[in-house]
Amino acid sequence: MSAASDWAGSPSPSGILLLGLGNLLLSDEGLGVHCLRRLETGYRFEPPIALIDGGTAGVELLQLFRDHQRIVVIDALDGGQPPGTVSVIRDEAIRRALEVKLTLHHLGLAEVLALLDLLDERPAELVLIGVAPQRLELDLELSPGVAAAIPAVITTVEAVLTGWGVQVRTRPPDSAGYAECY
Amino acid sequence: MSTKRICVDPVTRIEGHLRIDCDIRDGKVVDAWSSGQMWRGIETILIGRDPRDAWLYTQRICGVCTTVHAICSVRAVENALGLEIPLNAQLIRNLIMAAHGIHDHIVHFYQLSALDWVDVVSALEADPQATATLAQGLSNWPNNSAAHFAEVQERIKKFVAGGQLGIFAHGYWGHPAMKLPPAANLMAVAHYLEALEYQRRANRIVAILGGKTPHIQNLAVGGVANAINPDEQSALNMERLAYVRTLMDELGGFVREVYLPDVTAIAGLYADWLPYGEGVTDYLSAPDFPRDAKGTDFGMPGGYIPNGDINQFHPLTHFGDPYFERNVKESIKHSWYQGDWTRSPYAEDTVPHYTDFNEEGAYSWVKSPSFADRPAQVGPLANVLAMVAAGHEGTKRYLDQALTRIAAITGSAVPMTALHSSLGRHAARCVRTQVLYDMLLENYDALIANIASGDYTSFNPPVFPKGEQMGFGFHEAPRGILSHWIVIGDGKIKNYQAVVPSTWNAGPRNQDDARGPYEAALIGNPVLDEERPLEVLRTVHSFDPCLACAIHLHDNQRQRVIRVSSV
Repeated sequence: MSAASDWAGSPSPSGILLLGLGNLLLSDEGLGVHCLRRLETGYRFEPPIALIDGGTAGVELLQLFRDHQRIVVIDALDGGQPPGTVSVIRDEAIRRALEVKLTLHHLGLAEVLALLDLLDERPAELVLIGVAPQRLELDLELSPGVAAAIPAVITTVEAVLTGWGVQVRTRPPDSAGYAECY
Repeated sequence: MSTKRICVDPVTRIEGHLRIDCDIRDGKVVDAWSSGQMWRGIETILIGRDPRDAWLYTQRICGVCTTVHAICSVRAVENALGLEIPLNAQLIRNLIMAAHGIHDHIVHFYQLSALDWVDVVSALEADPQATATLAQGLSNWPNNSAAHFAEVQERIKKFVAGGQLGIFAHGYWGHPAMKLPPAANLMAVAHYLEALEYQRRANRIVAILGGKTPHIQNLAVGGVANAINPDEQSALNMERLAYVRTLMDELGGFVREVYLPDVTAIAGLYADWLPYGEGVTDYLSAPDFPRDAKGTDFGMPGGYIPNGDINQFHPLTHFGDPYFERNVKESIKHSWYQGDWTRSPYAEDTVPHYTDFNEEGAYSWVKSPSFADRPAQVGPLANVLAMVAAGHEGTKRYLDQALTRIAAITGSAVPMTALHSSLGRHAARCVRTQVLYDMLLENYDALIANIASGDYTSFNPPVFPKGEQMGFGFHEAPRGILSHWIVIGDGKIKNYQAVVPSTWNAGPRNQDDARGPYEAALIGNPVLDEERPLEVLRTVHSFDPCLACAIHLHDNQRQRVIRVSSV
């Protein structure tokens, strides 16, 4: 069982959260969740971290953010760059960027950050890994350009987590026990 | 006097993209148009798939209502197959639904709509002692102390002094229609913060029973996937159930001692608003919280009430009730789809055909549903009226409490007809939350008793015969009646339609050009300042719009404004 499956409201002991956002029904809109699933099934993290598929949730994310000190969010990020471009935005810059509508889940993430400000409980570190989408049509598959960017996203996630003292290792394919359904 | 057109696009503090146009004359709304600005096409993605998986997709339609689309979907398939589910499964689903509903109603009132009535800036001027006196007169909630209110006020002052209003940035502070005294504003702001603490307890109940949140994992066509064993570590056992009970107890205090007093106090202090926002008074709701495997006995009744007259109540009595099945239709006369038809959801198609906003023609991605050929209002008000009509004791008691509390502030009796209003929708939502809390208690006790009797079953495997089956499931979701309609052919999905609550309420004019509930409710609303149409938001927000599922899935490119600053 992955760390994510254990989350029924309790934080990971490491205080680190990896959150994938997006709508799986809208092609590249769901890339954050696609990346998260890849990380969940193919990798092991030591110490364990929480991996959460946040979908398109908004206020529900608040508690997750309060329960963790260091957070990586993966989401679609439309900044006019070529599709598949991976960018990394940290801490205060995320707030500034959200003010001009940044990720496609602007509403949820921006609101959650604003509520955290109000509660005076911002996480110690917050990193947004964004990928420029190509297609936002009704489709369960990623566009080829964005699918090709997943390894770069994973490398970026590894780099961020390594900086936080987490060892990221690949998991032998047969031990995952997980069939990628839709 | 001349007529002015205002266009609110997008309506803020809702999920999804909604545009509202109003014609204003002599300070009042004289006409209105509700336009969903996103296209929903979930139906097209489901065709050809396995009906057992449909719920996994439908719960992705919207980030707010994941649970309700999941439950409604499995009910639709079970109805098509004539499949009963074990009592334990019914009770576990009920607990999830009740906890989710309470969560949703609390978040709607405090986080999504209270700021239409509550002035945060005015709260900064309040005297904490006067606030405590006011709040203690309303309830025994332990945090209603002068010290706590002073602490909250300091926190907000610091927040505002930081130069950023953040979450409060888009409020209409100082608007002449904001009329609460500073003490009431401070009380409400303090409870806004506390609501953030308590909604999460409801959410945690969903997570424990559903395996995960925001997307629950425990559903299955035929029941639930929870293994039940009082003694086993990995199953739904007594330890986990005891934790659910603790969370329920904590949640109950907020529901009874904060939410109800707050809503009724605000309604009482805004008594001059009680006449506004009536609109469509044909009401439709679903019975829910089944107490038996079949779905014939319900903890919360529902049905159809034409003309706002509870004496004409027609109950829905069981899952699959043909009275519902034959009366629901959707029209696309004023929607951006190919053709012009009014059809049963079984026979619909979803072929987009976008033209520009044309108020005489098509102007929305939302279809226009009708019941018995007329628009119907759905939501907690429809549900509460149906429960009163059905003689539901708990509902009558909580409604009486609410109206008595409002009357204590206004100084004169408040009749039930006052519920046909924007404030009435808030009051009804709060009354419904009290009943939902009773459902949480009732279903918890029933589950414990059933497990104690030795029944651990939670799943009946579905069998898909050759040929075609049709069915629908309904669920009284937080925003009103939700129905999923499915046609199965040789074990695969042949057609699928979701008729969602915000479609009923946000729908454009129908096949006979009758206004939808949002549109009708806006007529006669005062608008003091066309530049800051707070009153329009009050009425639209009172329905708890959630356009993400009414009309998913994405913004028209024309509307999409996404830019990135240099970082």
